Amino acid sequence: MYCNLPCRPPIVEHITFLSSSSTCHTSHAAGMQVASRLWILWGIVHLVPEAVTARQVAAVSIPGTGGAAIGLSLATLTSVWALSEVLRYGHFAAKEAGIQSKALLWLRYTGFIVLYPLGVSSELAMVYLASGPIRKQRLLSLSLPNRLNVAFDYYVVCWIIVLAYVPAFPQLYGYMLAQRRKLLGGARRSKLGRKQA
Amino acid sequence: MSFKIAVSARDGRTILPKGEKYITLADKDATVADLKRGIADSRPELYTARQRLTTVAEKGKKGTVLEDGKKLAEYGLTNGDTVVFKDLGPQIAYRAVFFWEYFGPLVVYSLFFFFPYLIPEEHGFAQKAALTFWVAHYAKRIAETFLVHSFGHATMPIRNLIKNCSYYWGFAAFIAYFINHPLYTPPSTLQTVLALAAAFTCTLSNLRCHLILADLRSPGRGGYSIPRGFLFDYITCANYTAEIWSWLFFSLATQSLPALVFTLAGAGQMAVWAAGKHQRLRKLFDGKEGREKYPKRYIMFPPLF
Repeated sequence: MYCNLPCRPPIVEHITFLSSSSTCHTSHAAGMQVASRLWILWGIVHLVPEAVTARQVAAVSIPGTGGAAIGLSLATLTSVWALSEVLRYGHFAAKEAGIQSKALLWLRYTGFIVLYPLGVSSELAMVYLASGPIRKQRLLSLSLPNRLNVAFDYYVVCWIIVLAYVPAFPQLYGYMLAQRRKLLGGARRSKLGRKQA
Repeated sequence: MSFKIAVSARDGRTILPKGEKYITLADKDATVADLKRGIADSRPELYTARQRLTTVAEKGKKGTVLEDGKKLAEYGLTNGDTVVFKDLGPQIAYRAVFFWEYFGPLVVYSLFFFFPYLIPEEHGFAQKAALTFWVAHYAKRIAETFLVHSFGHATMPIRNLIKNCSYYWGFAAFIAYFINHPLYTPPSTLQTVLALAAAFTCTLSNLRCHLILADLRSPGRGGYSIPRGFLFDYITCANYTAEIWSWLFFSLATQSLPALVFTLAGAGQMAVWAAGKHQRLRKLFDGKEGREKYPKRYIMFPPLF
């Protein structure tokens, strides 16, 4: 349940690690993540780099900094992706090496609570910034008439994929929350026990 | 002399009402169908088509599925033994599914042909020829559903109806939209004529293959025999071969990428089915204990597969 695209971005490393996933659910979730990463990287950012770096989306000024603002941008996207990878692979590597680290486990199954929404928002922000130029220049699109007798509107496809995020994100997030409860829930209970005693 | 069989679910729960465990049958010659009827008498919503009965499995193994036509004694079941029950969910007849999945494309494609967009333009030769082939193809399929095919199973789960119809109707709309579009660009008339003639020939070959397959199965029994004659001497699933070539020629005749996509999707699914059938036949006809040995044949698409 993994793709064998001959592309170079480091996220392709996913693929070899994921082939050791034991459950279909994990592979399905991971497959969706890999697919969305590839699409955002090659189909959005690489396609219109000027558009996605032109400005931030939903920028919020930081009080007391005299004008500095934080918002969704390529910077937040890459930071979130990089941090998520460190936690994910750190956890996998430790597992493969037989190292049991409660700290790493906690990080892996807690970090996502903030990283996933931030990552998804950044991805959608990229699509939003890119959609204008994609529509105007009809990028990666094919109009009639042509010899293949088919039409393809990439702008429309992008928004259809965005619609797919609506059911996909709660599924992924919910799955991670359930995993968290399963793997970290026990630790919580013993903490409570100590408090009561 | 009573012949009682206990019926329980895999987790041990009773299926029959009022905590009853046993179905009583007339005698030891009772068939699986008799047992299923007994269960349906007790719980009318569990009509026989949605019941699957198996023998109790040893740990880690699967039980044997009980076939309707056989006697319970043939599976070694005697008075007091247990069978495991599974509810397959609401069922629909294979014939019904085939009819609806093929009827849709007839209607959908024709709608796109007869109701062009804002500009009422006369359709060209290629578009008219394509309509003719399409309608003939699906009419043939519906005719085969009622007159030719004998199905190995009587029913399938009803959710397959939605899945199958989405596939056929969806592709019909996708293909029909672009072929009957005002901006459709036909290939040369020669290309259309030659390719469609080839497509019709392949469709007729497919019909011949279906007639051969229908004769293999005697009514009432499932099971397999080695297909022979015509293309079957060289290819296990020759019917799929003919079908794929029909659609390849149709795609060429209309020079339509959507049609080609449909062809490849169908070919992919048929390849999976063909591999399964080829394996089954080779396992069944292994040449041992007096059985025939399955001859060396292509699976579905010579020379590649």
